[in-house]
This record gives sequence, C-alpha cells and structure tokens, in this order.
Amino acid sequence: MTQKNRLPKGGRINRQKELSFKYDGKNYIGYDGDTLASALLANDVHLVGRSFKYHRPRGIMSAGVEEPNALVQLETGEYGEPNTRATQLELYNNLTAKSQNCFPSVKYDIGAFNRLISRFIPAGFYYKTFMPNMKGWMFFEKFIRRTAGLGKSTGLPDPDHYARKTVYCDVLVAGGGPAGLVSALNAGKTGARVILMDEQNEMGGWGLTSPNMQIDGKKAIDWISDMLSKIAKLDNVQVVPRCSVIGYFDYNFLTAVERVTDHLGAGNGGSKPRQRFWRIRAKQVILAQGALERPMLFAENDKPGVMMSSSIRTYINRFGVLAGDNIVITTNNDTAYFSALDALNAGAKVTIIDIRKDLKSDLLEKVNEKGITVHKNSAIVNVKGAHRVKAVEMMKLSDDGKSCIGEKREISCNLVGMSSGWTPTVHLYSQARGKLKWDEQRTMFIPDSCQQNVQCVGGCNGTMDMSDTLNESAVSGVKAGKLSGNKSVSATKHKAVSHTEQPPRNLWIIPGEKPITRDRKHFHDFQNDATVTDILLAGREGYLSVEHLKRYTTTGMATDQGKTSNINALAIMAEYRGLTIPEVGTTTFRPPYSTTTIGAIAGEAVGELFEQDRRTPMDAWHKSHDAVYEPVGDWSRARYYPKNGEDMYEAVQRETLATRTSVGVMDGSTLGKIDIRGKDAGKFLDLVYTNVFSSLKSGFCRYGLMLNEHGMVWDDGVTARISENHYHMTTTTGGAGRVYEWLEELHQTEWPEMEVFITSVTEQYAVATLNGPNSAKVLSKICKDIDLDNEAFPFMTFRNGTISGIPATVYRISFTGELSYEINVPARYGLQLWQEIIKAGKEYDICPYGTETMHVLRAEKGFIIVGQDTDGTLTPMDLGMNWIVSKKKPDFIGKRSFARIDTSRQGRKQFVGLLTDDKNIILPEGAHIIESKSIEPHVNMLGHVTSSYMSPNCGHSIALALIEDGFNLKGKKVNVATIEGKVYSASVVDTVFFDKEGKRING
Amino acid sequence: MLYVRDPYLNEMRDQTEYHIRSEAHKARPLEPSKVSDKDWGDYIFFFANTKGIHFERWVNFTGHRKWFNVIRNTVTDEILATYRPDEDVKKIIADLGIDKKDIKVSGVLKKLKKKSS
Amino acid sequence: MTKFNIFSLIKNSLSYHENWEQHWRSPEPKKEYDIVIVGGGGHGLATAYYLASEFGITNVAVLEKGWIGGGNTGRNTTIIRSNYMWDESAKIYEHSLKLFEGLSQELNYNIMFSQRGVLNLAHNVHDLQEMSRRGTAIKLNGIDTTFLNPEQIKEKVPLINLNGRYPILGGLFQPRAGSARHDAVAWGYARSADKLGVDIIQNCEVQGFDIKNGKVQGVKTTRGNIKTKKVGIVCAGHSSVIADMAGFNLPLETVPLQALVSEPIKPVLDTVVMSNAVHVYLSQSDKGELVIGAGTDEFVSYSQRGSFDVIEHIMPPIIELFPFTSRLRQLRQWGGMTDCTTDRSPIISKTPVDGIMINCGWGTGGFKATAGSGNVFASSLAKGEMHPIAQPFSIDRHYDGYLIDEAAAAGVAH
Repeated sequence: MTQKNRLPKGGRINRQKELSFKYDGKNYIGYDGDTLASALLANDVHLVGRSFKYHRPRGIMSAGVEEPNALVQLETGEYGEPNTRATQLELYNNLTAKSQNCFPSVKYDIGAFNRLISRFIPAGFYYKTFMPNMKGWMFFEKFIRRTAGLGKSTGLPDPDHYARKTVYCDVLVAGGGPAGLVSALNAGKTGARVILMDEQNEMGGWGLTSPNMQIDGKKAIDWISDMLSKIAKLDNVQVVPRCSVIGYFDYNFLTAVERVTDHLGAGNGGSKPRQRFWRIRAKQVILAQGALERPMLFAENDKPGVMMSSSIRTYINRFGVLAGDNIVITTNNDTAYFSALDALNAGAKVTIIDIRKDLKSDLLEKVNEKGITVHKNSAIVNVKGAHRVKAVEMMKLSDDGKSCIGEKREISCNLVGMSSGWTPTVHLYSQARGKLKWDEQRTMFIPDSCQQNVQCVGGCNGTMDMSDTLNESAVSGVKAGKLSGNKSVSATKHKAVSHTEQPPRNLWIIPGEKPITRDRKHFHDFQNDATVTDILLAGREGYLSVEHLKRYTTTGMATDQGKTSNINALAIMAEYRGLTIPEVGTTTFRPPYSTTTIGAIAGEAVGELFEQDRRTPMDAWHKSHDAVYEPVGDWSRARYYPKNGEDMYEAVQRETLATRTSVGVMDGSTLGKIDIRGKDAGKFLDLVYTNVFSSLKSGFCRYGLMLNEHGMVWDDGVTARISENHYHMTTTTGGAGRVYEWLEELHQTEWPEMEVFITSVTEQYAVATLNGPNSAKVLSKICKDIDLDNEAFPFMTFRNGTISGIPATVYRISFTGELSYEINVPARYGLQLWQEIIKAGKEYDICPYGTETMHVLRAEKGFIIVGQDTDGTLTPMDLGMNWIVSKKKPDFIGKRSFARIDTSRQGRKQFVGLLTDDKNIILPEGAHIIESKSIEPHVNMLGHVTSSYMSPNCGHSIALALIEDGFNLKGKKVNVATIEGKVYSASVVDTVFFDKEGKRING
Repeated sequence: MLYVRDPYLNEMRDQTEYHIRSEAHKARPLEPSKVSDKDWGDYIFFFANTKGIHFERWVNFTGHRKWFNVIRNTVTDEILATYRPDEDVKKIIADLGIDKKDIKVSGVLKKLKKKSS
Repeated sequence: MTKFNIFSLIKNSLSYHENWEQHWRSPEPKKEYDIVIVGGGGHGLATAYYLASEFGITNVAVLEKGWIGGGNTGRNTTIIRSNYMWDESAKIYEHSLKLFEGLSQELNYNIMFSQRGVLNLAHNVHDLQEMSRRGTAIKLNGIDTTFLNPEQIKEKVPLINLNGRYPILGGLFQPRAGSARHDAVAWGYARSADKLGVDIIQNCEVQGFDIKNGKVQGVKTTRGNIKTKKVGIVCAGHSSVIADMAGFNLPLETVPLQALVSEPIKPVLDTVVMSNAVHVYLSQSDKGELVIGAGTDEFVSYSQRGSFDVIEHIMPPIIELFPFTSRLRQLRQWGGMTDCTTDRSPIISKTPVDGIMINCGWGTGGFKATAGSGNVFASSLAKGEMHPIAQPFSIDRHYDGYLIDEAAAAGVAH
C-alpha cells in the first residue's frame, strides 16, 4: 500500500516501523510517530466526519488540541471511546477508528438532510418552535436528542486503571516548545525543583513545525535536542511529555493529565495506568503554551481540505506529509508565507491569496522569487467540492473590505490553508484569574496582571519574535527559580533569525458574493456549526453580551471550547455593536483546558477502592456465619444471621425471641466512643448534654441527650464517669465523627478556659453486648473477677475485670430492657472475646443478633434511635423525654431555643406508640397519620410512622410515630395512610410496649 | 484550592486538610437565657456573609484538630492572615492595614460579644 | 411581538433572518418606577413578568448588574422537580412545576421543559425510610410520585450499576419532573416582560437605597437615582451585599456550588438521576452532554469558582453509579454562588425596611422554583402582603423557630 501524500523524507516519524490501522472499515498504513490525523492525510483521507447540526462533510483542520472537526470513534467494545481528536491520537498498530455523527457512512449521510433545511434553522431556532404543547415538545425532543450528541459511549465498565499523583515543586513550566525549554533550563540552573510538561509526545513545540528556523546558529531541530540534553543533565528538572496542563486553580494549584500508555494501543498498557492525573502545587508557574492560529471566515470555509496554514507546515515538517499538492493559502498576516514556502519545497504548487492591500514584506519577494503567485487585496468567496476541496473562487476586496468586487476567478486546488492571525493561549492564565489586555495592533488578548505567582512567555505572552521569546523565557526562568527560594544565576542569551512582521489586515468577516446574511455559510465555530450570520442574528435579537452570544449561538461550547472561534466571534459582535473588542469583553475560560478522561480525575478511588467500608474486629466471625450486612455510615454492620434459608423477617423474629427468652449477643463495636478528661470535664458535659453529669458518681453511667443550638435532638448515648476527672462517652454509630468534632469546636472556640481533653477512641475498643435473662450466667463462665450480683454490680454502673484473660470494662447498661452487659475490650481482642462468648453461651443457645433485631428489641421498649425516630426537628419534650432535661442548669446547648414561639407551643409533633387494629399489619415506616379515613388530595397530615416491626415478644405488630399533639391522642384511634394508598386504623398508645414495669432489667 | 499557613504548624498546608466552619468571632452569649428571641436568632442564623474581608473559622481534621481563624478576601479568595484564637486580632488587622469600614461582622457580634475569643 | 412558530420561522427564513426584532429593549432607566426589581436572574425576570401579566403593573424596572440570567440561572444543572417532603416546600415547588408545564406556550418561547422524570435513589435502610416518608407525604399532597424497585430502576436506567459499594435498594420517581433549558427561562421571561412594558436594564448596578423614616424612597444605581416606593430584592448570592446597603442583615451564607459536563454523546440516560447517599445528580442534556452536579464548598466566596477537590470528589461516585462514564471526557466545569440558609429553605419575606421585600436563600436548588417564586413574589409585591404560599418562608422563622428544615429532612437539597 502506498501513502499517497507521504513525502520521501523528513519528519519525526520512524519510517522503519510501519503501523497498520483501520479507518471506517478500510485498512491503511502509517508510521510510528504519526497521529491518526497525519496518517489519514498521508493516505489522502480528508473527509473524517460530519458536523453537529448541518451534518456538513468535514476534514482535518488542524494538527493539535484545537481540532474542531476530526473527532473519531476509537476502538469498539470495552476499550471504545467517543470524540477522540485524531490530531492528538498517536497511531499504534491495529488502531481501529471510524467517523462519527453520520449514518450510514461519512460519505452518504442521511443527516445531511439538515443541510437542505439549514436556511430554516439558524441560531436559536429551537427557542422559536417545537412548542405546540408539553407533549408536542417532548415528541420533537426525542428526534433532537437522537440527532445531537457526537460519538457513542460503550456503555461498559472501563477495563483500564488510572493513577493520581500529587507533587509540590518550585517551578512548573507548562509547554515544552522553545520558550518552555529555555524557561525550564534557566529555572533549573537556579537549583529549583522544576517540572516541564508538554502535551505532545516529544518536546519542541513550534520548533518541530519549523525545524529549519535558525536559533543560536543552529537549525531549530538540532537546537532543541541540544537544549534537551542540557536539561537532562539537571537532576532537579523533570521533563514530562504527553502531559497536558489543564487546570489552574487558586494558590498555584494546577492539574495535568499524562497519557501514560494510550499510545501503546488499547489493552497494551500492561500493569501501567492508562493515564496519570497530576495535582501540582507550584511556588512559581511559567506558562509557555504558545498561540493558536485563527481560521479565516470566508464562505464555505469548512470544506474538507481547508485547514490552518500552520498545520500544513506541521504535517510537512513533523510527519512528512504533504496534505495536498495543489495548495491555495489565504492569509491576513505573514506567518502563512512560511507555510507556503515549506509546501513549495515539499513539491506542491502554491498560490497565495492575501487580503492585505500593500505588501512590503521581504517574504513577498522571497515567494515571488520561488514562483509563487500572490494575489493581493483578494479573498476567497467560495470553496468548491463536496467531500474535498476542488477549487476556490476569488475576488478582489473593496477598499473598506466590506465587499468583494470585480471578476470572480477560479483557482483549482486540493488543499486550502488559512490564517487570520494568532490567539495567545491564555486559557490557563485566565483560569488563574489573570486579567487580559487587548493588543489592537496585533488583534490579540495578552496577559496583563494576575494575583498568582505566574509568568507567561513566548506566544502565550503575545511575544511572536523568536529571539524575544527565548530571551524573555530565560529571564523568566531565572526569576521563577529565584522567587521560589533558589540561587540567582545569569540568564542564558539567545539569538534567532528574526523576521519583521508586516501588520495584518483585520477583516473579521471575509465578504462573499452576496451580503453576508444572504451569502453562503461562513463558519466561525466549526464543531457547533455556528456561522457569522448566527452572531449577527444574536446581535439583532438583543443577545449582545458575550455570554448571551455564546449561549444563544452555542459558539465556543463545543469540545474544543472555542479555541479557534472565540476571538472571531467577539470581534464580529464588537463590529456589529460598534464597540471595541475589550468593550464587548471576553468570556470566562473554564477548566479543563482540554477535555479530560473522567476516569483519570477519579484515579484509583473506584471499584473496590471506592469509599472503603469500615469493619469491626469481629467481622471475620460474622462473615463466616453468613451475616447479611447493611451500610451504617461508613461501617458495614451485620444486620441479621439467617439460618436454614430464613429471610430477614424470619431470622429477626427468631433472634428477637431468643434474646428475650435466653440470651443474645450483638457486636456493638461501631458505637462512637470518646474519652473525656480534665478537671472541667463534668462542667463541660453539663453544657453539652441536657442533663447533669457533674453530679454523676464515679463508677456510674448515665444516658444523655445532645441537642444542637436550635434545641433539636441530634445525638444520644450513655456516658460513664470513670473517675473524678475522667468520663467515657458513647455516641451513635453515625454520629461518632460529628459529635467528636463538635465537642472540640465548643471547647476550643467557646470555652477554651476549661481544662478538658477530648480523644476519639471508637476504634480502640471492641464491644460485645450480652442481653437476656441468661446473660449473667454466660458472662460468669468467662469472667471470674467481677461480682455479677445485682447488688454488687447494679444497673447503670461499670466494673473492670478480665474475660478469659482479656482486660475488659463491663457496663451494665441496656438498650433492650433486658439484663445486659456491654463488654469493652481493646480492639485487638475483639474477635477472641466474641468467640469466648459464643463458646460460653452454647449451653444457653446464645443467639448472635444484628442491627435489625436490635431495632425491634429497643422499639419494644420505646427507646429512640436518633436519625430514625428523630429528624432534626424534635426537642426532648417532643419525644416525651422531659425527664432528661435539667431544670436546674442555667444553660446547656439548645436550652435557649426551647423558649421560642414555635418551639414552646402546644400541639407539636410528639412521639407515641401505635398499635394497629389488626395485629398482623406491620405499618410501613414512613406511612402518614392523616385526618380523614380515606385519602383525598391535600388531606391533612398529622405525622408519620418512624419505626415499625412485628414484635414476637408482644405477639403483635408495634409502631412508633410522631403525631401532632400525640400525647393528647393516647387511647384514640388514628388513620395511617401508606404510599400505596392503603389506610389502616390504629390506636395511639404509650411508647413502651413490653415489660412496662421494667422488671426484666435485673434478669 | 486554597493553601493556608497553619498557625499551629507554621507551615503551608492544603485546604483539603481542613474544614471551614463559617464566621469567626461570633461569641456565644454568656447568659443565653437573658437575650431576646431576636438576638438569639441573630446569633444562631445570621451571618456577615461579607463580600470582601471575611473572618472565618478553620479546623484541621486530618492532624492536630485545632481550630483557628482566617481572614480571607471572598472576592479574590486570597488568605490575608491566619491566627490562633489566643492571638490579638486587633493587632493583626492593624498590621494588615485593613480599613475598619471594610470589616463587616454580623450585627449580633457587636451586641452580644461579652468576651474576646 | 412577533409570534414565534414554524410559520414565522419560515417567513423570516425567506428574508434571510434579517427582520427578526430584538427580544428585549435596552432602555435608559426612567426617573421613577412603581416597582424596582433588583436582580435580572430568572427569579427577578419572572417576578417582573408576573407583575405585568397578572397584576397589570407594567411600570417596573429590572436592574441587572451584568447580563440577564448570568448568575445561578445560567449556571445550574437545570433540574425541575417538586418532590419535597415538607408541605410548605411541596406547595411552592409544585406551584412552580405547574407553571413550568405551560410556560413555553405562555411565553411563546421554547424553554424546552422536558418531563423526563427525576429518580432519587435509596442506598440503605435509612434512605428507604426517608423515601417512604417523603413519598407518602408527596402523594398525600397530590403530587405524582412512584416507588421503584431495583429491577424497575434498571429498566428505566439501563446503564446504572445496582450493586456498587452502596447497593441501590429502591428509588422514588417523579414522572412530571425533568429538566429545562435554563437560559431560555430567563430569556423567555425577559422577552415577554419587555413586551408588556417592563424595562430590563442591564449593566446597571445598585449602589444604595434612599430610605426615609424606615420607608424606601428610591434606589441609587451606577446609572443614576431611581425613585420608587417598592423594591423587590432578588439577587441570590449577592443578597447580603444588597441587604447591607438597605441596613439589614440576612440569615445567609454565599458558597460556591460547582457543576460539570462531559463531552456530548448519543443518548444514554433519559431521566435525571439523583443520589443523596453518594452525592450525585446527573442528567443528559438535549445536546448530549452529561450534566453532573458537584457539591458546595464550605467557605463563603463571591468569586463564582469553587475548589478543585469538589470536582475531583464527584468523579468516583459518578463512575460507581455509572461505570461507563470512566472513559468519557470532562468538557467543562463552572461555579456559581449559592445563597444558603441554615434550613435550606428560601426566604420570601418583608424586611425591616418598609417597601422592600426580599426573595433569596434558594441555595443550591433555586432553578426549579423560578416560575413559582417569581409568581408568588410578584403577588406579594403587588398586594403588599405576602402570598399565602410565601408566608412560611418569612425571615421571622429564624426568630420564632418555625424552620422548614429540608436540610434535616433530606441531608442535602439540590
């Protein structure tokens, strides 16, 4: 197979290494070092896609990140990827890709029907139609959705993995062209830790596009390798190719993404990540990202075969590809002449159409000498050809440049290069909150001032002369090194062969044969199919602000983020409004600079490593005994232990009965535990709990409620006084973290004068809770040094002892109303403790139970679960817990709020029990108590069911509920409505359903 | 992402090591029972929410867990100063050369502040 | 006003779209208005529109510091729903949803409200309990909602991962909810308000108020002083700043909220999916981009940008829920300034200054309320008394304790 457009020599490709690839089902050959775009062009493939809206045939327009057209569907199956820019996709062997947004093929695309109606669908047409009614719009919308979107997602999980890296450095240099290289070298010489990143596979940037340019007496290409070897000698400079700096945030925090193994081909990365996401905190930043060429807005400027003039040059010099052998270059500035010369040298026939009137450039002589025809003061008014440029039509420009005059001439060609000036790549500078200023002479926004430690050099600073670029880069490099705390050195000096630029002619709209609104299409945003007339229409309709313009016409919103379109659009709007460009303003440049794989940003924290769960020390036992788990906060807790194929209901009924009949054991290790010490510990607890703890005797425990400052319950738990100045607090599982932080906050910010030391010890202790009439018997078998007699070890006290040799603290507290022991041991003994208990309990048929049974057991006793029975809107009084609110204390957190009008009023929602008329009906949690017997729309809602279970110990279902004025409804019937629309009758009762006298607490 | 001089460590650390918890220097009334509903509501719910010089509380939650205060410009997000609660805020403000009229603190502060924090 | 429809589109096509009229004027401010609205976002423009259309008050100015719809209106994730738990919230959001249902026709501007449904996911028992409570309340309030089991969820959202770190146990689906084109809501209201005589004045920054004896007399702006006896402040993140000019304080903090979009792809997701447990909400726009809501920062900021860690923290949950997103690319991210109250409910209220009313505190979820908020605020301004739906949202609730605590109810309100 021959590569028609491949030059016999030159370029940075490895001609020894042929790579085969498939595009749109056809096989081609390219070389190692190619991008997909260069390989396609080598094979004379220009037509690569269809545009978003009008489905116009589109070709490769650029050679880099700014590419709006050549987006391809890469690979299939799990490695598939939509919207990949062919200009940045390094070719690998057996690469498979196809064109997007076309059916059945890029050549014959049904969607091209839109071209026929394009006249009727200008910018914002959808705001004006498709709206007969709601249904009508949704009917049309279906088709719109189907035709929109670019490539297809695989819908499959990603087989690749990604890495993340956080680094701190002295100087980050973004961009590895000549400016970046000199910056990095000079910063490196100061001894600074420097990172140099470039998005290309090799450093060199513009130097790779113009390898014959003379720098420091050498060809650019040799000068680059010279620089790289100098940099390589500096251990303190890290050079990272294939790495795009994409985000610039506050305090010099930058993000970058490195394509580590993409170029090896799908699935060939081995153990290496596909991409690596860099998080960089740099003391100093140097932006050396160059500039992007602007397209020229003549009629039919989007035909395949029309590309940026500098890209023609890049393809010749970097890839050895001459994209067409009969070239027309149209320009408003000098740079395109270099492309013309390189193309001529590569063997093409070249014609230049320059819109400028008077040309004095030495370049003009040079190209004339070589036999290139230059048409001055002329412009392209039409481009012929359907799937590939065949010819351009050219006319003379009027004096004011507003119209075309004279004879129309046709020039046949198969490639058009265009240049309408350069736009410095100020994206990152702008992201960094850098302010821009407008340079009218050169028609570009250039960096002005920034609150961050950043310098711009070279093209992105608007410095277009190579000597100036290199010398300012050297100075900036030294400065950055020095400012980041390193030694001062003298900057390197450089000299490049310069060329004196002739001023450009700024015609933002290239006039056509007809007035612009009636002419053929002049595209300015190629991917989103936004034309010059769209901008004018937006202006006419009042969308004058840049942001309105952008949103109304979708300019700059495509995957290239307007890299080639922004300035043109701004300028046209400015012209329309009769304002200067800075008066119209510029849009916000938003991260990322170039589109970034979501998987790369997520890094390793996916799949098994996504928010890893916490497990208790006893977990191995639960797992081996088939526990069913539930997530509680970040913990995974055993919910129940099914036996013989039981479902949850059956297992929980069994566990609940067994515990009250004999003995049950639960893993309570997740309970929040906070150690509080200091001489003011008691006083401190008096302020954070509603009840008094300073009067608690050592060795005793007390249940406490915590409120927020609104007076609403937000955590609870039992706290024990270990000794005079030492308390052990417990919290809910989910509340452990926030209570701990809250206590620290109050201590440090409100009562710093108190001597209190607060330490979270949740993970230091494993907890097994024995419950049931036989719990003392079980415990006595393994604990010989604590007298378990009720008198010797009464309820709400604790004792220290040993259990099978393990040091333990045993609390006689109960969340079930049964005789109960909460055994705390150092976490590492948790599993052993559990096993000892199970062994000792065997003769009593000890029943391990999980969180679900715990819920039933406590509900039988009417104990609340904060977060289930409360929702942050309930006071202790609402919960019927007045007994726990101290009347004596002048202050505690939340107390003051009780006195507010709404908080103190009668008839608030109150916590009550519910018994359904039919004892077998288990009300759904969340069911609502309603005023009427049937559900009517907007029926008055009085409250809801917070907890509801079948209680095997009571022999009927039980429920807890919050009901308006509930305390006064006791004994009365209420109606309970479910989400399914059923209504049940129930009686309001006390919240204690079982053992109302509380006799069982002592066994 | 902000970068903050931790006044306890006296070194620059990443914002991600901290929680930022609303307005600073909003002292809890010493005797809440004696303040009106209006003042109490102001204390709990109302904030200076300043556009410009903002005083806020930060806490390290990955290490030493200490609370401290930060003066930050909420327009540029630049941190002007960080200080421990026991440092003299008036001196810090003076050293920064902040004009008194640029300091807005929620009204309640002026009325209820009975101790320095 | 040119009627927008297929015929006017064709007619104008024949004249090369040269004759479309401007959608709203750029008038100079008059000396005096009956009512001045401070803030040209969706809520402010809706307020002006309803003042003119429902109450016949057309001598109204909307003062906008920058460009209309440029704040949170143009920066949100465009979700519209009314599946709120508390009655007070349900009422205003449902009022809004109902107005949205006919808004394209009423405004003759396609706001592209698409009732593709919103699905809230439950990942644990607590979620299910909360969902059952909320779902029942919503139903009893006469609002559409259905509980879906995991199989039904998979059917509706085929690419979802049911068995991740937090398995999906169920979901609450509101079919009438969906998304709309946010910019178009502002533009549609602006166009219609303008045609009814409302002056929309852009690039006009309010710098102070003329207040005598506790009564507002006028507004000072960068484009001169404007007399008025009635002012409606509707400026979201900047509410505290404007209130400060009028001499009162607000129970608000302005924090950054961020969002992002992926590159556009062919349709993969038909409904809006929200998960409080993993803090994700996403949908696919008509253009094909996945629109992903990220979280808020913890700090006050007026810079319309947030911290990067908020963005990076949203990515793993997104991949967890939708594994295919890993190979998609992020296209753009942005931030807005959200004015948050402690109870995550808005403030629609009189203020200490006679004649000034305020509408703010919509926090991270104001877009869906645009129509309803504007409607009840217009009524309140016109009548001088708060609309019944607005009454519970008074500033006073922060003193008497009558909070409408959506924060407590749902963890986060989007």
